Amino acid sequence: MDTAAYGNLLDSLRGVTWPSRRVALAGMAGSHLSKLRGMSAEFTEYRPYRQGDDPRRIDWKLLARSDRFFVRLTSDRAALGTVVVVDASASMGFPESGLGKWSQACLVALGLAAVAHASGDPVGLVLAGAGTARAVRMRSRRGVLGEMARVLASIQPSGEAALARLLPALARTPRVALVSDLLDDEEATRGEARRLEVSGTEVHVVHIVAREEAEGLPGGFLAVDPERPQVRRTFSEAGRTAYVESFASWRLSTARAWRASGAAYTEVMSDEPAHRAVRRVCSQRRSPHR
Amino acid sequence: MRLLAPGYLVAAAATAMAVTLLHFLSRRRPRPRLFPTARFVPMAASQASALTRRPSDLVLLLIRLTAVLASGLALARPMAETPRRTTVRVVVADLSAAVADSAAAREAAAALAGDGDTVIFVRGPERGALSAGLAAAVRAALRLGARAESLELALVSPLTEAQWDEATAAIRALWRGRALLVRTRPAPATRYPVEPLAAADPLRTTIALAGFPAPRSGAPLVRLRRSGPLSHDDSAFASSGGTAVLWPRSTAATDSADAVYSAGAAAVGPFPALAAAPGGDARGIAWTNRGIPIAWESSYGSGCLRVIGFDVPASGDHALRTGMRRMAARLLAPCNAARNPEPLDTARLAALAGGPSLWSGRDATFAAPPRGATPLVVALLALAFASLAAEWWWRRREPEPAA
Repeated sequence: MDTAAYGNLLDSLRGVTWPSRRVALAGMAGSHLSKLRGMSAEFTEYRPYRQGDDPRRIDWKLLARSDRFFVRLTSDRAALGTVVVVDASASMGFPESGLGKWSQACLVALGLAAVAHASGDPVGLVLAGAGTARAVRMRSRRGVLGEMARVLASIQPSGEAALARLLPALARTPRVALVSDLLDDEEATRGEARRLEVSGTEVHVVHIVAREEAEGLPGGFLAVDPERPQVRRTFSEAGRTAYVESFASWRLSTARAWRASGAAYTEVMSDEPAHRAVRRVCSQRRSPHR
Repeated sequence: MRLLAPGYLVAAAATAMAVTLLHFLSRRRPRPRLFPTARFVPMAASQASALTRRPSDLVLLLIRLTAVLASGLALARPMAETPRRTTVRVVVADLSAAVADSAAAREAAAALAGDGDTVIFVRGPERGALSAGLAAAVRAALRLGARAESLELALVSPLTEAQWDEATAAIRALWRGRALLVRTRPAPATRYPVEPLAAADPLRTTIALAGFPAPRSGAPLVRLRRSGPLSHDDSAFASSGGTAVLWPRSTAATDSADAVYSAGAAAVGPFPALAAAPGGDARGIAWTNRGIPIAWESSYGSGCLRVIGFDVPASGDHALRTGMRRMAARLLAPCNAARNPEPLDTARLAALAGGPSLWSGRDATFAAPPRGATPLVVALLALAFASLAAEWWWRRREPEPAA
C-alpha cells in the first residue's frame, strides 16, 4: 500500500468525527457522551437540591430569582475504544491485479482508525485470515496508526477468515468495525456480531464489494472460488444477468440481516473513494431496529 | 516393404481420421479464473461442442495419431523385401524318352534362359514328363517369387500325347500365368516286335496295321499271349525287362464294353469284355465308357505284366479304325519306351499355353512369414506404447486458473 495514499486519505478525513451510536460507558475522558453526569460545561438540566449534593453546583442566580435551591447538571464525555477487524482471506485479494478489495479494505480500516484516534479513542487492529494471527493492541498513543499501516502492508490476503471464531474475543471492546466482503460464513459471523451487540459492543460492518463482482467479468470463463476450489461455475454472457441479480439480491438480504441484528451496515464498492466511504460509515446513526 | 496383414493399417488409418475429426469437434472448456463470488454464478454446462476451423490441442492430436498409426502398422506386420527383377523365366527342358535330340533340346532351353533365369531338366520316361516338368516349375516359382515381379514359364518339349497324363492339367493350373511352348522334335514311334499271331486272329490285323513288326532276330520286347494264364516263362520274361501281355480271345466274354479309352487312345466298340481285375498291385491302364477298368498292368522285375479284358470283335471294321490301332499300340507298347509321338491336340496345347498374363511374383511367394515380432514391429509397438503414455501425461496437465 502506498503511504502517499494513506497521507491523502488522512488529509481528507481531517475534522471527521465518528460519534458513538449509543451512550458510552464510564471510562477515560473522551469525546463520546458518557452515561455519567460530570462537571463539564455542557448544561443538561436542573434538579432540586438534595441533601448531600455539592453546594458548588447550586445555581445561585436561579435561587435569587426563584428563592428555591436547584442544582445545575451537565453531561460527561468518555473515550470509546475501537478495534478494526480486517478480513484478510483469499477472497479479499480480488482482482489479483491491483488487489482492489484488499486495498479498499486497508484504506477504509486505516481511515476509521484515524478518525477514532483523532477523537482521542484508543484504536487497535485485528487481521483475520492470511494464515497468521496479526493484531495491533488497542492504544491511543501517536504511533499506533503507523504501526497499523505497516501491519496491513505486510499482509497478502490468503486462506480463510473464520471471523465467527475471532469475534467472541472482542466481547469487552466498546466498538468493533468489521471490514470484510462477508463471503465467508456470513451467518455465523452475524450471529457472533449480534452477541457482541447484546453485550454492549457497538458493531459496524463495512461490506467491501468489488465492482467486477457486482457487474461480472467480460467474456466467458470458468469461475473458481479461491477459498473453496471445488466450487466451479461457467460464467458466460448468457448468464451474466442472472448472476448480477443473484449477487445483488444476496447483498440486499445481507444488508437487511445485519441491520436487523443491530449492527451498522455500510456497503462500499472497491472503486469508491475511501474517504467518502469512511465518512458514510462514521455518519451511521442508531439502527432503527433497536 | 510389404504388409502381411494390411487390414490393420487400413483400420488404423480410419481410426486416425476419426480422431482428427474429433479434435475439430472438440468441446471447449472455458479458461479458469479466480472469482470469489463463483457460487452466485448460475449452473450451466461447463463445455460446449463446436465445430472449429483448427483442431484443438495439436500436440495431443499428434500424440494420438502417432499411437494409432504406429499400432496399426505394427499389427499389419511389415516385412522388408529384397529388390525384385522385373521378370524371371523358368525354362523346363524336356529330355525324356519322348525327345529325339536331347542336345538340341538343351540348346533351345539355354537360348531361352538369361541371367537370373532357371532351367529345369526333366528326364525319364515319356509318360508323365510334362507333369514332372510342370511340378518342378511350380516349386521353382514359389522360391523365385520373392525376387521377381513376374514369372514366365517356357516349356521346351515335344508336347506329345504320350507325355500327357491325368495329373498334367491339374499341375498346369497351379502355374497361374502364361507359358511359352517350344516344340522339339519328338522321338519317332517305335513298334517293338511282338509274337506273331494266328492268321484268323482279328487282333493280328490290328497289330499289323498299327505297325508292329514281327521279330527278326533276338527275343521280342513284347510277348503277346492270346490265351491264359501267363506261364512261369512269361513271368521270367517280364522279370528280365520284357512286357508280357495276356490278351485273351473273346470266346470267354461275359460282358461287353461300348468303348474303351486309355491315355492317348480311345476305341469305340462294342467290344467283348472278359473277366475282372487280376488283383494284387495291378493298376488300370484302360477303362470302359462306364469307367470300369478293362486293362491292367503290374510291374514285375524290370518289366511288367499286362492283362487285357476286352477283345477285338471278329466281325466289323474295328481293326481298321485309327482308335483301335492306337489302343493296340498303347496296350502293346513296352513298359519303358516311347509310345505315342502324336502331338497334343489343340485343346491341350491351349491349356498348356494358359492365359495372356504372367504370374505375379508376389502371388507366387511361398515364404512363410517370420514367426514372432520382427525388430521393426517391436520398435513400432514401443513407439505406440510411448505415445499412449505421453497422451495420458499430457491430458493430466491441468492449466492453473488465472485471476
